[in-house]
Order: sequence, then structure tokens, then C-alpha cells
Amino acid sequence: MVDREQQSLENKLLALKQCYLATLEPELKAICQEFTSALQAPSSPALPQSVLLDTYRRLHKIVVSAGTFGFPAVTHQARALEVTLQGWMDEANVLPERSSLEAFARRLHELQNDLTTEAQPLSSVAAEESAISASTLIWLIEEDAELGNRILEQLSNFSYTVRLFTSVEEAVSLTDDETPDIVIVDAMVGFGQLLPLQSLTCPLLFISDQDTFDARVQAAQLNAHGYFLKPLNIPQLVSRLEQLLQDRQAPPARILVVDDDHQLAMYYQLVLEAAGMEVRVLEKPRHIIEQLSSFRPELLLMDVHMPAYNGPDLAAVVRQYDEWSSLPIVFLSAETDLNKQVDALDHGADDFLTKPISAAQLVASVRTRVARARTLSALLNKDSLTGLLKHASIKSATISEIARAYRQEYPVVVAMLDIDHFKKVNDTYGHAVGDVVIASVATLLRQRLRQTDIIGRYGGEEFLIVLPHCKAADGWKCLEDIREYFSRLRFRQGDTEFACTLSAGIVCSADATETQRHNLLVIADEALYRAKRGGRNQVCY
Amino acid sequence: MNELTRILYVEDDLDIQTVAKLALEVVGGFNVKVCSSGEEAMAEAEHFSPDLILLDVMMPGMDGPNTMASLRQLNTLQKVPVIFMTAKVQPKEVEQLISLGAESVIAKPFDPMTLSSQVRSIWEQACGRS
Repeated sequence: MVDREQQSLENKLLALKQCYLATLEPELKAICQEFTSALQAPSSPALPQSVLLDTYRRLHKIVVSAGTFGFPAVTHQARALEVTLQGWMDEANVLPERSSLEAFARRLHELQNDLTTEAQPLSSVAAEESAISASTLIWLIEEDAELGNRILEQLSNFSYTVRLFTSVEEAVSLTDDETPDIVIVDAMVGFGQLLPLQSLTCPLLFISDQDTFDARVQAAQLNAHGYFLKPLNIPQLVSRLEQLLQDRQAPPARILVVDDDHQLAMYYQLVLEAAGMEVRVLEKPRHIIEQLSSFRPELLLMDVHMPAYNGPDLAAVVRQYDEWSSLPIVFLSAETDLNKQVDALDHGADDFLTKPISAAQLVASVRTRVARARTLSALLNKDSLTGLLKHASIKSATISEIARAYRQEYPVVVAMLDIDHFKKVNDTYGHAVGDVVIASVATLLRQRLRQTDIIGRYGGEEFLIVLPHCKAADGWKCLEDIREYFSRLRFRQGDTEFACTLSAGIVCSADATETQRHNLLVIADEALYRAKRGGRNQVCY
Repeated sequence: MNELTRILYVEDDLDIQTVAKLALEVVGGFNVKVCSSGEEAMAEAEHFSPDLILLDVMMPGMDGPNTMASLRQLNTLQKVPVIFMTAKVQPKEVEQLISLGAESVIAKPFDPMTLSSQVRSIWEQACGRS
């Protein structure tokens, strides 16, 4: 075929793939939801045969088609589910165990994640440089042009697009043409002048050389999302920027409501869903642990009085499981007896809301609790400089991802990455500059990799990355792009400009022998060592 | 036997139909007639006069094997090679389909980029045997 024809075929296939994806996503969701709700239907102790048949038929359709449209892992997983169903249908007089059905529902749910992972191709990761630098637009309002330019330059190192204004008027005049993602303002311009900026809905950060209480209050009154003192600690500023950007794209909060009063439960569901949250209602408290592990809620909203079990007992049961020890539990009850509330709190609840509660009050208290829990878990598991997973978290995430990859038979790439001659950077330019270099690798990794990839800071200047559903060649190309882009970054210290490089070693699970399977980390580390010995600034298999 | 140009393709799933038709026409350069059911294939087959028939196995109404049996009743189609397409490709299942008189079995999901060459090589083998 001539190139042009080939190109047009590929375009057509891609368009078909998009159409297919647009129907597959809701279909998977529907299959999962219908199966789960049939499972939870109070009327039927056993799952009707018709549900099994319907699920089988729809899964089969996915088995035969997903691979053709470029989703082989979805076909693979759907086929495994199909086989399970087939087994159940073959023995129609033997009812499948409840626990197997629940496990099946969880696997249906996982199938949706598999699709999300596969639908995010690595090629979109290695996007054009322009696309990346255009991703975040920051307005910087700083009357001191020289200082402004210095900040601009440092922020540009992190692939942000920064526009510098030396007066508020200048910025305001552009509001019709452009919408920034974040605005940084030097408090020296005077708070009174900033009112016109309030029409912008984006977060506002202040930089200042005055650390007075009054100035901070004034900033707070203008809805400031941060107040940073000069001389600026750039990594700290960047980590706040990243946090704000992430908050804007935060996934909806997942709330599990446990209440035997059907109507009331529906009301809570409606109110919370209207506020953009994802809600599941559990009317049978017996199944709470299964529900927790399939839905993985971020907050548990529970009635205190239920016929069979009372709320404090349930809370105590939930707390017996290590993984749910920090799940926020909020009780809802008409209870006004202080002693009983204290008792509930003693049993592991976090808060008590008294019925009747207004919709606004419910939303506000749930939302703030979830936000707080998210921040807390980020602080516990994430490195403060880079915002990446810490050593212990990345290591356990890596081990479970590798196990999952072998279990579900898809390839996963493990990469170790290390900044070259980092000690020299610290010795020559100081640790503050060294931190900028480390934070910039972290930012680069986050920007260049998929959301489903696992990224962590393994040691001082060492990073560990796991790319699920990725073959060795794609992983190498991806790391190679990151290496090249990093080598082009310029860092500054005073008047000196310098560049850094990094080395990486990668291994793909598909290429490992049986005995190497448990040692992918070691093999990646050996490859990293080869990259270092081979002259650094390279990616080795 | 003559050149492979005309393919009758029977498949009930519209998504798969579209991508297979595209693959056979653009990559293979074949003249493809698509039918969405065995019944429709029965109505169209003689008039189209295919060189080869591609049949999905699992279809509502007449399934693949039934459709093949019915098509084979038609005078002009007795000797036209049939290829089944199915997700069930365990050796025993394939053997079963071949024993019904099919030329070969193509596994689903198929790769649109290589579907045509797969079909062509099965066709060539069939010609070599006859």
C-alpha cells in the first residue's frame, strides 16, 4: 500500500476505534451496574439465571470485538469472566456462592479500569513539547520586572507557561482574551488594586516580603490560596501549584451511605450526587466489608440506629480492618443524647451529624471531611518535595502491580531513574538548587506519564516508575523522551546557568524469566548501573 | 480456481462488520458484500456469487454452521470455501467446525491489519488442495 492509503486507513481505523470506545465505556459500566444491583436486590436470594445469561451475552460481544479495536487486555479479561459465567450456567442447579458472585462483581468493576488504562495510549504520553508547555498558564503580576523575570525563568523550568505583567491594569486588560489557570501576585502592588481580578475564578497566590498578620488576613479576604515569603522557595511554590492544579481535576468523592431507611438513604444519595459526588447506598449492613472493598469509598455515612446492628458496632468492625483504619466515618442520627454520641465517637466514628440536616450542611461537612482525608493521605504517602509516592509506598505499589500484571498476563515496564552527578549539583550550587532539580524531574515525570502509571521517589535522587500495559520498546521510548527533555532544561543559580542529565534502566515483565519475576526491581537497577557505566545520560534495557 | 475477489461476509455485530469490511476492502482490495444474518445471506448469496464466504459462528437466529449448511444447498454455492470466525478456538472446537466442511477458522478478535492476508492464505491453501 502507498503511504497515503496506509495513512487514510489508519485514520479510519482510529475513528472506528473512537466510536467503539464511546459505546464500550457505557456498556461496561451498565453491565457492571446491572449485575451489582441484581446482586443487591432484596427480593431474590439467588441471582436469576436470566441475569447470568444477559451478562454472558454482553461480555461475549466484548470478547470478540475489543481486541479488534485495539483493546486486547479487555478481551483477555472479559474472556476470563465469560469462562466463569459459563461454568455457572453449565451447572444451573448449583447456585454459585454469594462470595464468588461478589468477587465477580469486583472483577467486572476492574474491567472498567483495564479499559481506562488501555485507552490511554503511550503515544499520547510522548506528546509534542508544545502541547505540554501550553498545558498550564500562569499569570505573574510583579512590579519589579527584574525579579519577575527571574521567577518566570524558574517556573518555566517546570514547563509552565508564565506571562509576566508589571501592573494589575495590564493583566486586567487581557482578561477578555485569555484565562489563566493560576494567578501569582506580589502583595507590594497593594491589596486595594486587586479587586478587578476577583472576576477571575482561578486560584490566587501571593508573594510578599512582609510576614504580618494583617497582610495575611487581607490576602485571605481576597480568597488567597497561598502566601509565600521572599526570597521565594521555588520547589515549595511549585508543589503548591501542582496541588492546586490537581484539586481542580480531582475525581469525585466516593461516599458509601449505610441506612436501613430506604427513602432517607435515597435522599442523601440525591443530595450528594447533585453536589458531584459518587454515592452508593447499602441497606444491608451485613455486606459492609464487601462493599468497602468493591467500592472503596472515601467516607462512610452511617445511621446510628439500625434494626439488626447498631452504628457504633459497625464502625468498630470496620476499624478492625487495617486498610479501613483511617476511613472517615460520620454518623447521622436524630440522637440528641450527648452520652450516646460520645459512645459512637469512642467506637471509631469521626463525627456526628444530627438529623434533620439541611442539604447544604450535609454536602459541606462531607466535602470538607473528604478533602481533609485526601490531604492527609497524600502527606502520609507522598514525598513533600516531589509530591510523588515515598519509598515504602512506591515499593509496595510496585510489587502489587507486578503481581497483578503476571496474574492478568499483561506486560508491565519497571524503570529506575537517577540524576547524573547529583552530588556535584548540591556541592556546587547548594541544596536549595538541588531540590529544584529533583522537583523538576518529578514534575516532568508526572506530566509525561499516564495517570495510571506509578511514580515514586525511591531515594535521594533516585526514582522508580511502573508502566502497566506497556512493552519494553514503548517504555524505552517513553523514558528516552523524558531523558532528552530533561537534558534540555536549564537551571539557574545567580548568574550561572547549568543543565543536568539523567540515566535510567528498564525491564519489561514480558522479557523476564520465571526466576527473574520476583527480581524486576533488581534487574532494572542493574540496567541503570549499565547506563551509568556506559557514560550516563542514557536509557538501558 | 479463479482469482479471489468477491467475499460474502455474514456478521450480526455492526461494530465488527464495519471494521472487517474496511479491512477487507482497503487492505485486501476485495469486493465485500456484508449480511447481518444467515437469513439475509440466503437471500443475497446466489445473486452476489461470492468466491469465498466468511461466517460468524454465534449469531441470533441461524447461527454460522446452520447458515453454511443452508448455503451449501444452493447449487451455485456448493463448492465455495467457507471460513468461520469465532472466539472459541480450542482445538476441539476448531476440529468440530472443520468437520462440518469449513475450510478454516479465524480467531476473534482479529487484527484488522492482517485479516486480509489471513483470508488470502487460507484461500490459496484451499486452491492448492482442490
